[in-house]
Amino acid sequence: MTSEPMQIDCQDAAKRLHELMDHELTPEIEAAVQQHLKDCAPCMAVYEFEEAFCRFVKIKAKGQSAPSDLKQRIMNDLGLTGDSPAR
Amino acid sequence: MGSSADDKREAFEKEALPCLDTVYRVALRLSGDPSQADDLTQETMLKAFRAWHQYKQGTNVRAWLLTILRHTFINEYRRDKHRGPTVDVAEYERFTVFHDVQEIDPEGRFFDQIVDEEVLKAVDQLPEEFRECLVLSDIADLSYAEIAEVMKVPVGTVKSRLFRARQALQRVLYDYAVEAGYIKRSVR
Repeated sequence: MTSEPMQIDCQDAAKRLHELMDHELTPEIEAAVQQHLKDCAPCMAVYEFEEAFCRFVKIKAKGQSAPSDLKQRIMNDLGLTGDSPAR
Repeated sequence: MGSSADDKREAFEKEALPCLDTVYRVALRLSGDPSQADDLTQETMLKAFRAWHQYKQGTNVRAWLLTILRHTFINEYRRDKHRGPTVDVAEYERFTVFHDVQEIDPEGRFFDQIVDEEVLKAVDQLPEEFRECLVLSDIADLSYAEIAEVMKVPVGTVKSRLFRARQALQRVLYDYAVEAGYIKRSVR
């Protein structure tokens, strides 16, 4: 038996846009939101705006690195050599 | 032949040390003070090294380090220090800025003109519980479940705080962009 695909309206979609961009929805709800966005240009426009904004925040907020003297101090304290790549 | 102390160093260096920049960035946003962020980062890494045997292999090491960081911050660093004004999230978060700018800049390109420093200043204006959620998500890339565990709150709370924090941040940055002349305020 196949069940009907889930349907959601604009209000439901609006509530789930951030969860969609954060990959936090269950596959079933994600598919329903994606389908709604495909069918509804105004919601898609909001989604694209929100997604661009979140991408912008992530990039801007990750601009700083730990000062090199701090890193050196920590490595000295722990007797580390510092060959591992940053992530 | 390597000793177990060497193995521990090697594992820590391979898994935890690469997260140093993330730990530092989060420390900076929690404390709002570069010298405190230095101390907090150093203490977090030392504590993590000492407690390395408690880290569960295969789990997110960033979430583990940030749990130590947050605990250290709350217990040893957070004072009732005045951090400057915070925004009223309830006042700011109601609508996406999209509805204000859809006629003139539906893609939100004006945001790109805002420099890093202004974005961070706006993040720092968020009340602590909202700022923490945003930082753990957008700087540390933790999942909602991981943030919930670090902050000891339900996942639903993380979801709602993160959404509201982002909406408030968007509104603050939009107001800034209008002030700076990057975009004209629309009359609704």
